[in-house]
Amino acid sequence: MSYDGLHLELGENVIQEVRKHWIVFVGHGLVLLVLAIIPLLLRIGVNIFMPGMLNIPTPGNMNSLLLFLYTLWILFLWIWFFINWTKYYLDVWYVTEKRIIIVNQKQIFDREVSNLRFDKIQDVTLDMHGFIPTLLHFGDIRVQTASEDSKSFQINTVRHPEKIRRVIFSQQNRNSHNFSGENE
Amino acid sequence: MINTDTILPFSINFNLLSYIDSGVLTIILGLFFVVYLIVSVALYYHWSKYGMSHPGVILAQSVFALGSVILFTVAVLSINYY
Repeated sequence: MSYDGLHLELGENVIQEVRKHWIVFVGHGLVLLVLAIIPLLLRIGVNIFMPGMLNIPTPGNMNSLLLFLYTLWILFLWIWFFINWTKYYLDVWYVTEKRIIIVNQKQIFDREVSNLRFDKIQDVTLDMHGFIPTLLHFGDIRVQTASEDSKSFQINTVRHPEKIRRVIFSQQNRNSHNFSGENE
Repeated sequence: MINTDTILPFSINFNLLSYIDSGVLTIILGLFFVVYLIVSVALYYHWSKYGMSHPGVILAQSVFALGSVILFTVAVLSINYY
Protein backbone atom coordinates (compact mmCIF):
# COMPACT_ATOMS: atom_id res chain seq x y z
CA MET A 1 0.00 0.00 0.00
CA SER A 2 1.23 3.46 -0.85
CA TYR A 3 -0.31 6.67 0.51
CA ASP A 4 1.78 9.03 -1.63
CA GLY A 5 -1.36 10.54 -3.11
CA LEU A 6 -2.46 11.78 0.33
CA HIS A 7 0.62 14.03 0.74
CA LEU A 8 1.15 13.03 4.35
CA GLU A 9 3.48 15.07 6.56
CA LEU A 10 6.81 13.69 7.74
CA GLY A 11 6.20 10.97 10.34
CA GLU A 12 2.45 10.92 9.70
CA ASN A 13 0.86 7.51 9.16
CA VAL A 14 -2.61 6.30 8.28
CA ILE A 15 -4.10 4.57 11.33
CA GLN A 16 -7.47 3.68 9.91
CA GLU A 17 -9.30 3.69 6.59
CA VAL A 18 -13.03 4.24 6.93
CA ARG A 19 -15.21 2.93 4.12
CA LYS A 20 -18.87 2.26 3.67
CA HIS A 21 -20.12 -1.19 4.59
CA TRP A 22 -20.02 -3.77 1.80
CA ILE A 23 -23.81 -4.15 2.09
CA VAL A 24 -24.15 -0.82 0.23
CA PHE A 25 -22.28 -2.22 -2.71
CA VAL A 26 -24.14 -5.54 -2.58
CA GLY A 27 -27.34 -3.51 -3.00
CA HIS A 28 -25.98 -1.96 -6.22
CA GLY A 29 -24.80 -5.38 -7.39
CA LEU A 30 -28.21 -6.96 -6.85
CA VAL A 31 -29.94 -4.25 -8.89
CA LEU A 32 -27.51 -4.88 -11.76
CA LEU A 33 -28.00 -8.64 -11.43
CA VAL A 34 -31.77 -8.22 -11.80
CA LEU A 35 -31.20 -5.98 -14.85
CA ALA A 36 -28.96 -8.67 -16.33
CA ILE A 37 -31.58 -11.38 -15.81
CA ILE A 38 -34.58 -9.45 -17.19
CA PRO A 39 -33.71 -10.00 -20.91
CA LEU A 40 -33.33 -13.75 -20.27
CA LEU A 41 -36.75 -13.86 -18.60
CA LEU A 42 -38.26 -11.90 -21.50
CA ARG A 43 -36.72 -14.36 -23.96
CA ILE A 44 -38.16 -17.32 -22.05
CA GLY A 45 -41.55 -15.57 -21.85
CA VAL A 46 -41.59 -14.88 -25.59
CA ASN A 47 -40.60 -18.49 -26.32
CA ILE A 48 -43.49 -19.76 -24.23
CA PHE A 49 -46.28 -17.27 -24.96
CA MET A 50 -45.45 -15.74 -28.35
CA PRO A 51 -43.10 -18.09 -30.21
CA GLY A 52 -44.06 -16.55 -33.57
CA MET A 53 -42.59 -13.22 -32.52
CA LEU A 54 -39.07 -14.47 -33.09
CA ASN A 55 -39.79 -15.79 -36.59
CA ILE A 56 -38.68 -12.56 -38.17
CA PRO A 57 -36.75 -12.61 -41.44
CA THR A 58 -33.16 -11.53 -40.81
CA PRO A 59 -30.10 -11.86 -43.07
CA GLY A 60 -28.46 -14.01 -40.38
CA ASN A 61 -29.05 -16.20 -37.41
CA MET A 62 -31.62 -14.72 -35.01
CA ASN A 63 -30.07 -16.39 -31.95
CA SER A 64 -26.67 -14.89 -32.76
CA LEU A 65 -28.26 -11.47 -33.10
CA LEU A 66 -29.99 -11.83 -29.73
CA LEU A 67 -26.73 -13.05 -28.16
CA PHE A 68 -24.92 -10.03 -29.61
CA LEU A 69 -27.48 -7.59 -28.19
CA TYR A 70 -27.48 -9.37 -24.84
CA THR A 71 -23.66 -9.25 -24.69
CA LEU A 72 -23.72 -5.49 -25.31
CA TRP A 73 -26.29 -5.12 -22.52
CA ILE A 74 -24.10 -7.16 -20.13
CA LEU A 75 -21.04 -5.09 -21.12
CA PHE A 76 -23.00 -1.92 -20.34
CA LEU A 77 -23.95 -3.32 -16.90
CA TRP A 78 -20.35 -4.50 -16.39
CA ILE A 79 -19.05 -0.96 -16.90
CA TRP A 80 -21.81 0.47 -14.70
CA PHE A 81 -20.91 -2.03 -11.96
CA PHE A 82 -17.28 -0.89 -11.93
CA ILE A 83 -18.23 2.79 -11.98
CA ASN A 84 -20.38 2.13 -8.89
CA TRP A 85 -17.58 0.14 -7.29
CA THR A 86 -15.08 2.94 -7.92
CA LYS A 87 -17.40 5.50 -6.33
CA TYR A 88 -17.91 3.15 -3.36
CA TYR A 89 -14.24 2.33 -2.96
CA LEU A 90 -12.78 5.80 -3.36
CA ASP A 91 -15.28 7.38 -0.98
CA VAL A 92 -13.12 7.03 2.12
CA TRP A 93 -11.86 8.69 5.31
CA TYR A 94 -8.21 8.28 6.27
CA VAL A 95 -7.56 8.75 9.99
CA THR A 96 -3.92 9.64 10.67
CA GLU A 97 -2.15 10.67 13.91
CA LYS A 98 -2.76 14.33 13.10
CA ARG A 99 -5.97 14.65 11.12
CA ILE A 100 -8.77 13.05 9.19
CA ILE A 101 -8.48 13.22 5.42
CA ILE A 102 -11.99 13.12 4.03
CA VAL A 103 -12.36 12.01 0.42
CA ASN A 104 -15.84 12.44 -0.92
CA GLN A 105 -16.14 10.70 -4.30
CA LYS A 106 -19.58 11.97 -5.32
CA GLN A 107 -19.38 10.99 -8.96
CA ILE A 108 -16.62 9.58 -11.11
CA PHE A 109 -15.46 13.10 -12.03
CA ASP A 110 -16.64 14.82 -8.86
CA ARG A 111 -14.16 14.39 -6.02
CA GLU A 112 -13.78 16.53 -2.91
CA VAL A 113 -10.90 16.20 -0.42
CA SER A 114 -11.02 17.91 3.00
CA ASN A 115 -8.58 17.89 5.92
CA LEU A 116 -9.84 17.97 9.46
CA ARG A 117 -7.30 18.50 12.26
CA PHE A 118 -8.14 16.88 15.59
CA ASP A 119 -7.93 20.18 17.48
CA LYS A 120 -10.78 21.49 15.31
CA ILE A 121 -13.13 18.63 16.16
CA GLN A 122 -15.90 19.50 18.56
CA ASP A 123 -18.02 16.38 18.47
CA VAL A 124 -18.31 13.01 16.83
CA THR A 125 -21.78 11.52 16.68
CA LEU A 126 -22.84 8.18 15.38
CA ASP A 127 -26.23 7.10 14.24
CA MET A 128 -27.00 3.40 14.14
CA HIS A 129 -30.64 2.49 14.04
CA GLY A 130 -32.65 -0.39 12.67
CA PHE A 131 -32.38 -4.15 12.82
CA ILE A 132 -29.98 -4.75 9.90
CA PRO A 133 -27.54 -1.95 10.81
CA THR A 134 -27.37 -3.27 14.38
CA LEU A 135 -26.94 -6.84 13.20
CA LEU A 136 -24.23 -6.02 10.65
CA HIS A 137 -22.62 -3.25 12.74
CA PHE A 138 -22.88 -0.31 10.39
CA GLY A 139 -24.09 3.24 10.82
CA ASP A 140 -23.49 6.92 10.05
CA ILE A 141 -20.73 9.06 11.55
CA ARG A 142 -20.84 12.85 11.74
CA VAL A 143 -17.88 14.95 12.77
CA GLN A 144 -18.55 18.55 13.73
CA THR A 145 -15.90 21.23 13.80
CA ALA A 146 -15.47 23.80 16.57
CA SER A 147 -14.39 26.67 14.38
CA GLU A 148 -16.45 29.81 13.80
CA ASP A 149 -17.70 28.58 10.49
CA SER A 150 -18.81 25.30 12.06
CA LYS A 151 -18.91 22.54 9.49
CA SER A 152 -19.94 18.94 9.70
CA PHE A 153 -18.64 16.00 7.73
CA GLN A 154 -20.66 12.85 7.41
CA ILE A 155 -20.07 9.38 6.06
CA ASN A 156 -22.98 6.98 5.90
CA THR A 157 -23.24 3.23 6.40
CA VAL A 158 -19.69 2.69 7.65
CA ARG A 159 -18.50 -0.52 9.29
CA HIS A 160 -18.05 -0.49 13.08
CA PRO A 161 -18.81 3.21 13.67
CA GLU A 162 -18.19 2.90 17.46
CA LYS A 163 -14.65 1.69 16.84
CA ILE A 164 -14.00 4.59 14.48
CA ARG A 165 -15.35 7.10 16.97
CA ARG A 166 -13.06 5.58 19.62
CA VAL A 167 -10.04 5.90 17.32
CA ILE A 168 -10.89 9.54 16.56
CA PHE A 169 -11.33 10.40 20.26
CA SER A 170 -8.12 8.63 21.29
CA GLN A 171 -6.16 10.47 18.60
CA GLN A 172 -7.78 13.74 19.61
CA ASN A 173 -6.79 13.13 23.27
CA ARG A 174 -3.25 12.17 22.29
CA ASN A 175 -2.93 15.33 20.18
CA SER A 176 -4.25 17.59 22.95
CA HIS A 177 -1.81 15.96 25.47
CA ASN A 178 1.09 16.44 23.07
CA PHE A 179 0.04 20.05 22.52
CA SER A 180 -0.25 20.82 26.27
CA GLY A 181 3.06 18.98 26.89
CA GLU A 182 4.80 21.19 24.35
CA ASN A 183 3.41 24.32 26.02
CA GLU A 184 4.57 23.37 29.54
CA MET B 1 -49.72 -19.82 -31.68
CA ILE B 2 -50.50 -16.11 -31.70
CA ASN B 3 -50.08 -14.11 -34.88
CA THR B 4 -47.98 -11.19 -33.70
CA ASP B 5 -48.41 -9.25 -36.97
CA THR B 6 -52.03 -8.60 -36.12
CA ILE B 7 -51.70 -7.83 -32.42
CA LEU B 8 -48.40 -5.95 -32.21
CA PRO B 9 -48.57 -2.44 -33.66
CA PHE B 10 -44.77 -2.22 -33.67
CA SER B 11 -44.27 -5.45 -35.62
CA ILE B 12 -43.86 -3.43 -38.81
CA ASN B 13 -40.57 -2.15 -37.37
CA PHE B 14 -39.24 -5.70 -37.43
CA ASN B 15 -38.66 -5.14 -41.17
CA LEU B 16 -35.70 -3.03 -40.12
CA LEU B 17 -34.05 -6.22 -38.95
CA SER B 18 -33.69 -7.32 -42.58
CA TYR B 19 -31.15 -4.50 -43.05
CA ILE B 20 -29.02 -5.62 -40.12
CA ASP B 21 -26.09 -7.56 -41.47
CA SER B 22 -22.73 -8.37 -39.86
CA GLY B 23 -21.29 -5.05 -41.13
CA VAL B 24 -23.90 -3.06 -39.19
CA LEU B 25 -23.28 -5.15 -36.08
CA THR B 26 -19.52 -4.57 -36.41
CA ILE B 27 -20.07 -0.82 -36.58
CA ILE B 28 -22.33 -0.96 -33.49
CA LEU B 29 -19.69 -2.99 -31.64
CA GLY B 30 -16.97 -0.57 -32.76
CA LEU B 31 -18.91 2.44 -31.45
CA PHE B 32 -19.55 0.61 -28.20
CA PHE B 33 -15.85 -0.20 -27.94
CA VAL B 34 -14.94 3.50 -28.29
CA VAL B 35 -17.30 4.39 -25.41
CA TYR B 36 -15.92 1.46 -23.42
CA LEU B 37 -12.35 2.68 -23.99
CA ILE B 38 -13.17 6.20 -22.78
CA VAL B 39 -14.83 4.90 -19.59
CA SER B 40 -12.03 2.38 -19.02
CA VAL B 41 -9.35 5.06 -19.28
CA ALA B 42 -11.27 7.14 -16.71
CA LEU B 43 -11.60 4.16 -14.38
CA TYR B 44 -7.94 3.11 -14.69
CA TYR B 45 -6.91 6.72 -14.10
CA HIS B 46 -8.90 6.84 -10.86
CA TRP B 47 -7.66 3.44 -9.73
CA SER B 48 -4.01 4.25 -10.34
CA LYS B 49 -4.11 7.83 -9.05
CA TYR B 50 -6.38 7.44 -6.01
CA GLY B 51 -6.40 3.68 -5.40
CA MET B 52 -3.17 3.83 -3.31
CA SER B 53 -2.06 0.48 -4.82
CA HIS B 54 -4.63 -1.19 -2.57
CA PRO B 55 -4.97 -4.97 -3.17
CA GLY B 56 -8.71 -4.50 -3.76
CA VAL B 57 -8.02 -2.06 -6.60
CA ILE B 58 -5.47 -4.38 -8.21
CA LEU B 59 -7.99 -7.23 -8.04
CA ALA B 60 -10.72 -5.00 -9.52
CA GLN B 61 -8.45 -3.99 -12.42
CA SER B 62 -7.77 -7.64 -13.26
CA VAL B 63 -11.43 -8.72 -12.97
CA PHE B 64 -12.59 -5.76 -15.08
CA ALA B 65 -10.04 -6.49 -17.82
CA LEU B 66 -10.71 -10.24 -17.86
CA GLY B 67 -14.51 -9.86 -17.88
CA SER B 68 -14.32 -7.26 -20.65
CA VAL B 69 -12.13 -9.49 -22.83
CA ILE B 70 -14.55 -12.39 -22.40
CA LEU B 71 -17.62 -10.27 -23.20
CA PHE B 72 -16.06 -8.62 -26.27
CA THR B 73 -14.94 -12.04 -27.50
CA VAL B 74 -18.52 -13.35 -27.19
CA ALA B 75 -19.79 -10.26 -29.06
CA VAL B 76 -17.28 -10.79 -31.91
CA LEU B 77 -18.10 -14.50 -32.10
CA SER B 78 -21.84 -13.78 -32.23
CA ILE B 79 -21.20 -11.46 -35.21
CA ASN B 80 -19.15 -14.20 -36.88
CA TYR B 81 -21.96 -16.73 -36.43
CA TYR B 82 -24.65 -14.27 -37.52
